[in-house]
Amino acid sequence: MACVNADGTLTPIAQKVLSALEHPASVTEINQRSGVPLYRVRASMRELADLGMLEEVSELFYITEKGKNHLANKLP
Amino acid sequence: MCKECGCGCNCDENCNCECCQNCKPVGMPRLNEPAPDFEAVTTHGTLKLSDYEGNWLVLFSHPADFTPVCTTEFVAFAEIYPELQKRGVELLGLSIDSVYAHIAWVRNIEEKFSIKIPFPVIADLSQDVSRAYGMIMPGVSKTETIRCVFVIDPKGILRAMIYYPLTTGRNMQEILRLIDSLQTSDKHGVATPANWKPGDKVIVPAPKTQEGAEERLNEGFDYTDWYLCKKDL
Repeated sequence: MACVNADGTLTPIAQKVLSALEHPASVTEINQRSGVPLYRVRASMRELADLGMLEEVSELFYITEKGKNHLANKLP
Repeated sequence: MCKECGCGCNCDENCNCECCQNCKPVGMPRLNEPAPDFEAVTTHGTLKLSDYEGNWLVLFSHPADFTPVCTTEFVAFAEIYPELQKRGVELLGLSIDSVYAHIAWVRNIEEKFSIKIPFPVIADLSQDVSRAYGMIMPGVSKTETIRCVFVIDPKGILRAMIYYPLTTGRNMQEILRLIDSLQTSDKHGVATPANWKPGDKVIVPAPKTQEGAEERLNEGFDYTDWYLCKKDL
């Protein structure tokens, strides 16, 4: 997994992507806010959505409570 | 049974045995058509071609990890990466090696050459991507990809291909020049002459009517003949 380490913590890329979701944002806005390359934002969003850490509504991405907990290192 | 040749090798569709690999169809992508789609395991996680939408992409293959010519090429690709980024271009490598081999090789390059490989590398053990892009030339090798370069535009259209043999390392300045030429042509509606480089005169498209040909002399271009006119950008 490119977003989660073996110990369950978030990788630096995943942390940057989720941190850019303080407010709901599009893929392009996350790319601009985080500095993470567009292709890695898209790949990370896909993986983080599968893990239930973010949700997409009308092309805007929202961080979920699970995502916030992971970002704060409060693992489930 | 192999689905392609019908032999009794008793393999499933994900089999990597020599028979199944030899029987998988080899595609040949075509210019100005959508680049073959893929989802692949890479050193940066699972990536799809569509992840690159909005960026130019240089997809390139190399024969094998931990080999001498490929190592010099990876160092050279890493060196031009900042120039590619200025042009809105991402890099994506590929070979028929495992992701663990890729990781070990990339780490070895960093250790030996003090240069970080900033781009992902596809681990194409199934040969799905390499066959879709015609990267395997059985006359050269059935188990290695040759040195291919595919330039894919921000809409996913294949715009250029270069094929090199195993023994010839690629010229990075030519790859940059090719991208400059494509982007200049797109932006200004012109063509570029032999050995063109940014700053040189570009070629004005030839007129398509006899009337246009007659007017061409009076249009202020660097005029050789009605069909060959250049201008500065």
